[in-house]
Amino acid sequence: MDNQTQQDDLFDVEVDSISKKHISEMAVWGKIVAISAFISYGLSLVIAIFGNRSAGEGFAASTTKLSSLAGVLITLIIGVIINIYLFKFSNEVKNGIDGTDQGSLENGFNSLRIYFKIIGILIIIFISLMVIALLLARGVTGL
Amino acid sequence: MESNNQPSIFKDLLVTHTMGNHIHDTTKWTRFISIVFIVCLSLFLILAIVAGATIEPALASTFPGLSNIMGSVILVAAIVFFLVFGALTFFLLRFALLARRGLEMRNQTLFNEGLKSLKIYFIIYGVFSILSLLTNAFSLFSL
Repeated sequence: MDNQTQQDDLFDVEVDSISKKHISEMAVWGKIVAISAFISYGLSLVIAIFGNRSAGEGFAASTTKLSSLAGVLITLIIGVIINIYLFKFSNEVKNGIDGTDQGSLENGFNSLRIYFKIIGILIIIFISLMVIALLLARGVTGL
Repeated sequence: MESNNQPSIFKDLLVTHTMGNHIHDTTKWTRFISIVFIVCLSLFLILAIVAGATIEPALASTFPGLSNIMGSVILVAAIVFFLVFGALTFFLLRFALLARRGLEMRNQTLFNEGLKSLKIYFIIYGVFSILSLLTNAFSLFSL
């Protein structure tokens, strides 16, 4: 038994039949979430491009449409990046369980870690922006 | 005779050091996310109670005959949102606590319960994603 293998077994918890069942079902639903998100983003883009026809023509209408399109694009880029990791998690974990491949399983859980990490970082950014906006608003009203 | 601490070719998948670290990191982020969600839900509940009293007279003046129905619709929507969001938060936090404790205490049952919670989280999220996708598709066809 080499040292690397002994170190690798540090947590001493197995992926037993119950874990396998949970992980497999998690992979299925993770894939459903990711695919639904990809389709939703596509539909949102189509709605943003072809929707708002009632806004009319002219500079004001096109500015509104452009800003709405920009908002959709930013959401879409962030959402696609996040859901790619969820999709990768689902695929790799499924391959790991089906093919008894430890490497794929590890990569899958790494993708899940990155998925939640990105969401966490986005929440931190969002809270920071909210605090800054609140402070600015208090500054403006305090004048 | 082989020790239980040593992996062998007969054991299939294990929570290796690398995978355990990924899951441990994931639980840190999911705990943070669920705590933020709990704060958001509490704020939502306070806001709903405070704003409810203000919204009711406003609804009565805007929709004279329909204020009761509109009020009930808003209340049901708020309860559904609160329950779904609450369930997502509960299972995410449960995963964070149980999976982490399972790894640290080397307890297979706790670890499996943690995975089960994450699975339920993804099931709820998946159903919600499908509903959201259907809403988006409906918006597209009503353009």
